[in-house]
Amino acid sequence: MRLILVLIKKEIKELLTRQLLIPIIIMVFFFSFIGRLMNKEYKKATKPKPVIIADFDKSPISNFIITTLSQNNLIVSELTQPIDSLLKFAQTSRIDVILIIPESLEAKLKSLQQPAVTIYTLINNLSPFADIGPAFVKSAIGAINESFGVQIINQYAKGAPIATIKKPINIIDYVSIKDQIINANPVVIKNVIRVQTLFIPVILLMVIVYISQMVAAAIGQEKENKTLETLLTFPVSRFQILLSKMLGASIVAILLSVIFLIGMKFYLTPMNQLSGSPVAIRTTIDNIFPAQTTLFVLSAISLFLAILCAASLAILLSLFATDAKQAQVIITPINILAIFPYFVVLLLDINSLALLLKVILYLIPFTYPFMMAQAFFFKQTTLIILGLTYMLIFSITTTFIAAKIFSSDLIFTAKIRVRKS
Amino acid sequence: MVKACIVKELSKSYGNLLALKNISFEINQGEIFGLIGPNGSGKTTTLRILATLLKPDNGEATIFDFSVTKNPNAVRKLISYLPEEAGAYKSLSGFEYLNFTADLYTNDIMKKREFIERALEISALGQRIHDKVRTYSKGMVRKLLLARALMTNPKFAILDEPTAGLDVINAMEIRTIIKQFVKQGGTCLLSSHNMLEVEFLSDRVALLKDGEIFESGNIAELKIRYHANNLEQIFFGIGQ
Repeated sequence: MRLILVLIKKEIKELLTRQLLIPIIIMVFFFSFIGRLMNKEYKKATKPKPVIIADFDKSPISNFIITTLSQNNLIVSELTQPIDSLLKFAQTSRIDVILIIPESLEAKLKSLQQPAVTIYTLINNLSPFADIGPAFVKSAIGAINESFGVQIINQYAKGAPIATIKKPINIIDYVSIKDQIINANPVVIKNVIRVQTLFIPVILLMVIVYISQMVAAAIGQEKENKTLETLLTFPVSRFQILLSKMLGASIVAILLSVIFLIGMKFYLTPMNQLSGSPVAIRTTIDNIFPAQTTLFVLSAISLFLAILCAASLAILLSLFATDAKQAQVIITPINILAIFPYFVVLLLDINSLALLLKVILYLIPFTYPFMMAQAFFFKQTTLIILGLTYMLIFSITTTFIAAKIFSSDLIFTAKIRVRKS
Repeated sequence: MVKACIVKELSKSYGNLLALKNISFEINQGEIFGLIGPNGSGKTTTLRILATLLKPDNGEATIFDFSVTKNPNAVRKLISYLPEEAGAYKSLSGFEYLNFTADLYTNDIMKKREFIERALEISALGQRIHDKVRTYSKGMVRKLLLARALMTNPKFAILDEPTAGLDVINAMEIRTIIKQFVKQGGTCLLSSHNMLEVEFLSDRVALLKDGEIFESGNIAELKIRYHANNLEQIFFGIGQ
């Protein structure tokens, strides 16, 4: 154990260089900066927006519209001019929306001729925040329409069931997940589950990529710097050397992922504040699936096994590289093995795929951790157990093969063959 | 006389290339044994087998009676190997490198300190020992590696081209260190294609060519037998 610790310490010192850390830390600051910038921009965008209203009706109803708009986060500037000059003015004053209330709006409304108001939206940039002003105006007009609609119904059919008239057939949504049935909107439920399970695959993908890179660096540098030959003659078993490389690389990869996640958190926290969290729905889901801790534990186990699989596979492949650069190239298949199931799980339903594709996906050990959250929500216990067992067997077998190669001549002769070719 | 190393009919091939063909030799405790021959003659393969890095196809080799194939872990505790193109970890300082190696050989703090002090004396790098290895010259790295190889006072040192690529002063310093190591009771197997260096250092030699030993023995006796002034003339004479 002491020797493994000595070797791990050396691995970490070798891998965790300033050259590696500085770009990652810069990225954290960059994420934090972007997050704050977005937050600032959103706050700016959600401040009361200026709107130009050209009221050609000057009636109590047009006045009601203007008052309603003023109460709906809009700063109203009334200008009764031709549209060309209004557009010029809006352009120079950086105002996004112009609302035109036509002459005889009130008269047409009263005689049920469905008058129209006109909205001009000035597109000055493609930022999503630029849509906020026009959306405010439309939402306010929508509320006014709703109010007038009720008034008209009341006028023609006093005491009529307004809700029934407006929506003669109602929809009651029920969602069934396995044996659980709940009264909720399926789209909302799906979105909340997606958001809750989105982060795990992202972390996983990042850890797998980092680990294979770190292992490749650990083995590749030993070969490139001609230190492996000496290391293998020290009074340490080959398995201890191999294990320390896997553990050292995993520790560095996890550390890098944590730093990266901190950066992501800096980036996402202000963004989440913007969108607002659907607390009520999340509470409902928490009530339906009280075993969130189980999901956390399962995710942690699958993450740990994925680390073992990635590290052992990267070690196995890197052994055949002659230098650090070649080691980085040789581990590319691992990244593909991680990215492929990531996208399939994210975008498709594995069960509906062709048999061959399904077999390929189930043979890839990284498919299981990506599926873990979904399998948990849909209570696919057998799949979870089989997946975790397969990952354990895969990592043990790969480590065993790597240890065999590491203890054999192949570690040197493979290089000789490459040179000869 | 105690035999430090016995090599019996050792063979090794890489695919179709026969690198060693039934070579045999013995090394006595306390001597410097030189393995000489041109590039590609099988010197490094022999050294790698004795350093437990490669397994022979046939034959047997022992270091102080421990088989390099059957008991490599015991052999690794007795030997110290300096490969021809060895390097040290560039991200570590020279001192950290020595500290790391010492940690692998002992968990006794006093012994570790003793190892490091010996290494500091051998390497003679002064304050530069605390600088990163990546800032060292080739000669400095070689001295650091030799210090690492000899600091644990191994019973059997295997040195592959110990002075390869070094200037005259560095090469001389390294030769002196090797001589001192043997004087203090160590045994050394060294390989070189620099025959004058081998002649200066070694007590006995084996001449390798195309994976075969075609002559071995005491240098003085070989000179008389072949009417030669130095090893180079012996080698050239036999080769013809």
